[in-house]
Amino acid sequence: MEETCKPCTAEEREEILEEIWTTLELDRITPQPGSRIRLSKLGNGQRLSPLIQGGDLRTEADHAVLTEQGYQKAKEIMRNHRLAERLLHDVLNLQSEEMERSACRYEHMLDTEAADSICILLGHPRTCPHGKCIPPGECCEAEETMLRPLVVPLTELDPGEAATVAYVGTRDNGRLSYLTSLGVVTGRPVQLVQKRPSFIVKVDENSVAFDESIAREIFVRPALRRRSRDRGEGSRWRLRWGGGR
Amino acid sequence: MNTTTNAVAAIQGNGGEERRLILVGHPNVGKSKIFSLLTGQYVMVSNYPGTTVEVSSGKATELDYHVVDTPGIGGVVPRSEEELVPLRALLTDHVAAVLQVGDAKNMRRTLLLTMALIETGLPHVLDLNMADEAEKKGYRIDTDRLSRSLGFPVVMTVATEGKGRSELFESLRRPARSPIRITYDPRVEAAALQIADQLPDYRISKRAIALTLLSANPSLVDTLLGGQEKQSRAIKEIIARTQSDVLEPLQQLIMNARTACVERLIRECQTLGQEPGFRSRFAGFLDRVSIHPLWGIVLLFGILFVMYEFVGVFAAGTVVDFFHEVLFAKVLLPPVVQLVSHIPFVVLRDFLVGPYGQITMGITLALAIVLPTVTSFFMIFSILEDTGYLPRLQVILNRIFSFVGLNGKAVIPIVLGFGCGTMAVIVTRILETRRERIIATLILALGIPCAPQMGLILGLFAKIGFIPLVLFFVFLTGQLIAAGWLASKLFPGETTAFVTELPPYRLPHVNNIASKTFYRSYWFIREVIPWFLVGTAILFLADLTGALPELKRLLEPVVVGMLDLPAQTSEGFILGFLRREYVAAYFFDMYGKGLLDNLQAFVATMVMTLFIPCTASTFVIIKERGIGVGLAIVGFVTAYAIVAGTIINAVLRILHVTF
Repeated sequence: MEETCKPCTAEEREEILEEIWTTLELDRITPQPGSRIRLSKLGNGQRLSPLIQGGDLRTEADHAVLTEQGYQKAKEIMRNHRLAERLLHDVLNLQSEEMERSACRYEHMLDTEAADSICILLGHPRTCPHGKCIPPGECCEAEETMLRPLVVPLTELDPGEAATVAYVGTRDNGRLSYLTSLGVVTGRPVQLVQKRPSFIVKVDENSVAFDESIAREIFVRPALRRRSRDRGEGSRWRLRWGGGR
Repeated sequence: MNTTTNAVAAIQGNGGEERRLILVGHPNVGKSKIFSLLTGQYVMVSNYPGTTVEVSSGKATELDYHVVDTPGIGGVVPRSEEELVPLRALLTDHVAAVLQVGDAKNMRRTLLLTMALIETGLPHVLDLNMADEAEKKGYRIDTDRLSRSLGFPVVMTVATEGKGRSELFESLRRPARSPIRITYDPRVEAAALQIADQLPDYRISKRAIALTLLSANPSLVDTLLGGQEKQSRAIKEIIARTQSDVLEPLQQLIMNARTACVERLIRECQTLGQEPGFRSRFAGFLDRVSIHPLWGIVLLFGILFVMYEFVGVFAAGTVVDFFHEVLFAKVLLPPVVQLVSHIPFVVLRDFLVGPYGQITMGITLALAIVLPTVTSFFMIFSILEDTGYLPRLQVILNRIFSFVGLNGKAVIPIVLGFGCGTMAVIVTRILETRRERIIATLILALGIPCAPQMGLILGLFAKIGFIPLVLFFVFLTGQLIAAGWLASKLFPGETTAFVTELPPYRLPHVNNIASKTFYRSYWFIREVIPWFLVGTAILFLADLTGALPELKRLLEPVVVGMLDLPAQTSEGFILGFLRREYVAAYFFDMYGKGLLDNLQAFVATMVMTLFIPCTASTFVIIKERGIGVGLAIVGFVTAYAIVAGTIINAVLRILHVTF
């Protein structure tokens, strides 16, 4: 049930960071840069030296102190681990032992983007199956609504947001062929210009206008949202009033 | 015209050697302009999809072709009557070659249609038009390489400037069949073979037709094979069976294969260059303003105000005054009257220059009052058409239109109704369902004033005041919305979802605006003068025989009793059965002579606007909608106009509003 993994040589340093993080949590301390932990709690002090040399930890008297860099690494590894747990538990329905074993492998394999994708897919979960906190990633911070699946109807996008068409779910062949001809096709990048008075989407060189009923039939994968200040790029002329809903 | 070309094709098919060149392509890519270039004929061109709803054809200069222009195709599956036209032309005409006109900056879209067209097995030429816009956007297209890959000539043109004309002509001398053969999903291939077995003989490859049917809704099978019950049932069964084996729509499988081919061609032949320049930045700004929920409406009212100033105050005021009071009254008419006075017969003299004289009334009203107003209105209208504003208007008005059971697409016929109702009723063909076409026709017949009427209304209100004008249009719009809403309840059915493309804003060419305004005014006057003469003659005869006072007395209870108008206005309404602008001009003239006060002018104008459309448009309504629906619309509109006029008059008088 506990989430420490047997150190496997290549990932040993990450495992130690993970151990520090969970130990801090056990002591009811929220890990942050500069968090201190007694060396005695970490057992053999010898194994910390690669971390100290790498700049992830420093020692102060009988305490080990997490540096900014070490904190970031630890946070990412914890996020990966716990997101992997959630994925395996919620989606693949694995039981705790199996889940644990796989999560220990996944945490080292996932990069930030993959972790963010899982996070979005799962709707930005805040806790792991054990009830512990999952450190939020950039995808969660940029998100106002905390629950958004990976594929959403176009109506869920904000004006100005970019996305990739996942599929067009219409059964009307005439409409399908018209949208296809305008470039609203699986895999093509689109940008939502506005939602009112009609939806307007840019695809390649086309601007396409349509009703909400059609917007609900077009499913897209939103591009990962950056923080809001980066979003309205090139929007000097943008008229802000009433664009969203 | 559609039927005529088919008839001609049938005659020519029996051994006659007429080589037909069919122009096909997406909407608003410039097919009509290319048509003009090839045939030397003038065709109306604009910057919005749906300018062409009928087939026009003509002999190509320098080339041995009979050129046929078709309405634009949205996707490979037709969605309305008008989109069926190109498909029918390919199926039934004796086609020597296909000239596909495409948008050079939209290669994916263009080539996707090419992939569908080469299935027909017809000799092909691809013209990438609007090359200047593509270049501005930084696209570079290697036409030689594309031509080698496709196996037929590919040229680039800027049709509005005549660039690439000689290359186009040269390429049309050597159209070729494409060697490309796309292999689809095996299930699609098998179904296509089975369907081809069921099809009668056409002039194009059965495989092409089978693939189109597999992409389309089952109703297309009936449309194309109308009458052949057995085959059509068999084909529908094949389609249904194949579809049940596949998760995604069959069309998707077909498109996937075509898209793969298109992507390869694009990788080979197109490169994307630099950033768009300043001008498209400004166009982008204008674009955002015109489709913005608030600023879009502000801009619309701004445009309407400019129109009021230019058409109403300037053209219908200053210019008409000059034409009417100075040019006609002082310069042109006196010598004519002088000349006529030598004729010994009083009746003939009166017929020409009397109070109901052909020259003093008919010609004068047409040329001095109607012509300047109409010309100025057409000018503004042409500018709006050419910039690409109309599709944006669809976006702004979509919500309001959905309230009356229409969608934004109906903006095009309704707005065209402000030009000419007759044309507008024909353009309702772009609407997808019968229900939408009926509602749109009703609104057009009820209360959309056509250009001359509108001009004269603006002119009249320029004298009465701006507030009454606003009130007038608020009343009118309210009634149209109410009537449309009722009609949408009367004909239940789903409102089709709105989807359209927005063409880029373009700076209108002065030449195009000038020629459009000229041709429209010219056609208009040519059509209108005989009606004015006939109308005047009827009044003259009625006056001479004493029938006019009788008729006036007959209408008196309505005109004087219910509407509180002077008895003379009934003459106007009688003319209204002929041409609406005649009534408008007549009232305009009466108001000028002080025979109508402001309130009376308001009521008279309202009744006239709501009144039945002119004879020409009544005929077209009956032709397009059928005699039953047509007559129902006309009858309703006439009764409604009188009732509404009476109520408005009563309410305004009770409230002591006299303007």
